[in-house]
Amino acid sequence: MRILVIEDDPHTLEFIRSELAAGGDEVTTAPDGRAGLLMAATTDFDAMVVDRMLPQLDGLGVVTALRSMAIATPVIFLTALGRVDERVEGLRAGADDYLVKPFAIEELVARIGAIARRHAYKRPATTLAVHDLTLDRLSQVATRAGQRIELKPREFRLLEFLMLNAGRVVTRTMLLEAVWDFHFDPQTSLVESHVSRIRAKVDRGFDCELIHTVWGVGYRVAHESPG
Amino acid sequence: MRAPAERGSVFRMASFRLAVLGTMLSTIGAIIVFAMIYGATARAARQEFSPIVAGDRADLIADALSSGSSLRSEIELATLQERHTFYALTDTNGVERAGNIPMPSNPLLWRHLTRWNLPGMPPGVRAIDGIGQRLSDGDILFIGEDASVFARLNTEIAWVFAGVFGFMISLGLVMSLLIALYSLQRVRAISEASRQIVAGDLSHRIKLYGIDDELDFLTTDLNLMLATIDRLVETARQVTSDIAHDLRAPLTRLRDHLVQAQRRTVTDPGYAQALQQVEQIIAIFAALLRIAEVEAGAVQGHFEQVDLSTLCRALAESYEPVAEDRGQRLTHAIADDLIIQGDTALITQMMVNLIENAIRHCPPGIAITLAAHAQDRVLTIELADRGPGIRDADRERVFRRFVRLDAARTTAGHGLGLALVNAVVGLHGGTIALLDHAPGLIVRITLKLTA
Repeated sequence: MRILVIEDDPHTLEFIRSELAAGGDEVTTAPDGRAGLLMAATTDFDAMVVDRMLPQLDGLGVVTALRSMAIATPVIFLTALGRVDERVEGLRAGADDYLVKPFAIEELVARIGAIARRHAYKRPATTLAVHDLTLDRLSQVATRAGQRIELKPREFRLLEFLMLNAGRVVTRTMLLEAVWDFHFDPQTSLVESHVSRIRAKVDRGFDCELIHTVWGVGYRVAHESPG
Repeated sequence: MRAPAERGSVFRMASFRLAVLGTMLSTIGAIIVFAMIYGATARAARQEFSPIVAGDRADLIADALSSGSSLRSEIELATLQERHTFYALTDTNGVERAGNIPMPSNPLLWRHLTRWNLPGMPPGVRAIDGIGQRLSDGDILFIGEDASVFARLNTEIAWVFAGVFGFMISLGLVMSLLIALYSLQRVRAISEASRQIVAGDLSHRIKLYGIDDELDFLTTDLNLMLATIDRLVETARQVTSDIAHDLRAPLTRLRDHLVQAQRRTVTDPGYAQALQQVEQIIAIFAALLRIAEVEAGAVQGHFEQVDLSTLCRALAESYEPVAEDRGQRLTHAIADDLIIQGDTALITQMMVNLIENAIRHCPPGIAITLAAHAQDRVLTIELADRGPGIRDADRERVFRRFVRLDAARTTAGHGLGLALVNAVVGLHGGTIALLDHAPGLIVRITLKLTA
């Protein structure tokens, strides 16, 4: 993926650049808002990482300007401002996601993947499928190998979010935000407890596991043939 | 804290009590002055009448002696001629022999007779002043003069006094009531402002009336004091926030370096442990900053309607599996339509912290209940468990930052959960109490329901 990172702190910029590059992404960087906006407006990127507090033109200004030019490149805001109203302000300006500093690099990578993918399939699918697991988002029915799976509403939303990001790592924090609207870190195994229940319903008794744990990061739904 | 209605009565105001005392003193003063005037008129009447009475008596006796007729017939003659002189004649046995009034009691002393102490008072006469004398044959002759003029004067003076003083006293009472109400209103404004300041809004100032009276002096000094406190608290808060904020950047870099180092030497478990420690420090700083932010009341502008019924049920259902995995049972009993004004994200975090506290500090096999109901516009949330509970002595302490009780040393956590809960409750103007569930703990939160 081609990713533009606009960040004024050289250390953070270099860290993100090297980590993303290590994952095989093509990374372009800009040290301030004006330079970043110029690049974003003239080159096509798959995703952008934008710090909110930037010299010349701040992050909000960059995104607002991009959107007014009808450039819909997905944007993740990166910021030290973590209050909920500040998040809302950022998302309203046209950002697709919001990550509060300090963050884990795995979190950023997972979120870039999620928004870039969301952008690629503009129309939300009404049916999600991974291998023999299907999810009908309208009737809220999940089936595996033709067998109906009974899910509670919250479990359905969790599985839905995992399947929307099928093949990609979904972090614990992403799940907390998307499924529970929690913008803090719970001190108990909330996500783990729910995932284990969904696993028991979706994977137990079937020939292969579809929900995978990515140790220390999160989960991934995918069909991986053994070996 | 005592409710304002209990202590805000105008009749308990110092100024009103002083006014009532002053009114009582002036009433007593008026009564004394009136008594003195009354005494003076009585003395004046006696000085006026005693020579007349003595003259009358001398005339009567002289006439009786010179004409040779009896005293009785002279009295009868005199009563026919005199309209303003009154006579009574009794013999040694007290039998009335002549006269136009009955014999008063103690007739040998100077008497002031009214219809109260003389039942047979002639019609149209209000008072008689006079004195009796024992004659040589043992009879008693009482002669009195019509003192109606003095009595009327006394009545008039009494009316004037009652009128003038009554008017002045009631005017004084009304005025002092108004003054008391006015000061009460101003004291209430000061007290209201203080309460707002206690509630966390240190930037609040008390309004001056601009009339340079004693309350304005007090207000100016209070405002000066508030400005100082505000500045000190702000400095302290700023220092805490700055430390937490400034340390975040180097900590983040430390973590980034660890991540990169770990990538190069995957096999050393020391990196993973160091990374975990750094994550925890970062989490603590984030929690500290969040508490500071809530305590500063910075989010109050973002209050919205929060449906606590839906929120609590959703949370209870979300945490059922978590409790179940630990062998505990989480149940809930939540009433409908519990709507409050608040910050959804903070209320959510508050409830999560409470539920997680109960789950984390209770051993397996324990039942935990989340209940919420409203009565008289007060919403009560209760989280009750049958776990180890908290000792009396520790119940206040646990709301402070970084306080972890000995029993909890072995469980994960940084001792900031209840501090945040306390801050969120405070921000919403509610109360929180830790009660004994014998055995176990009840956390009770009350919040104001939206009208």
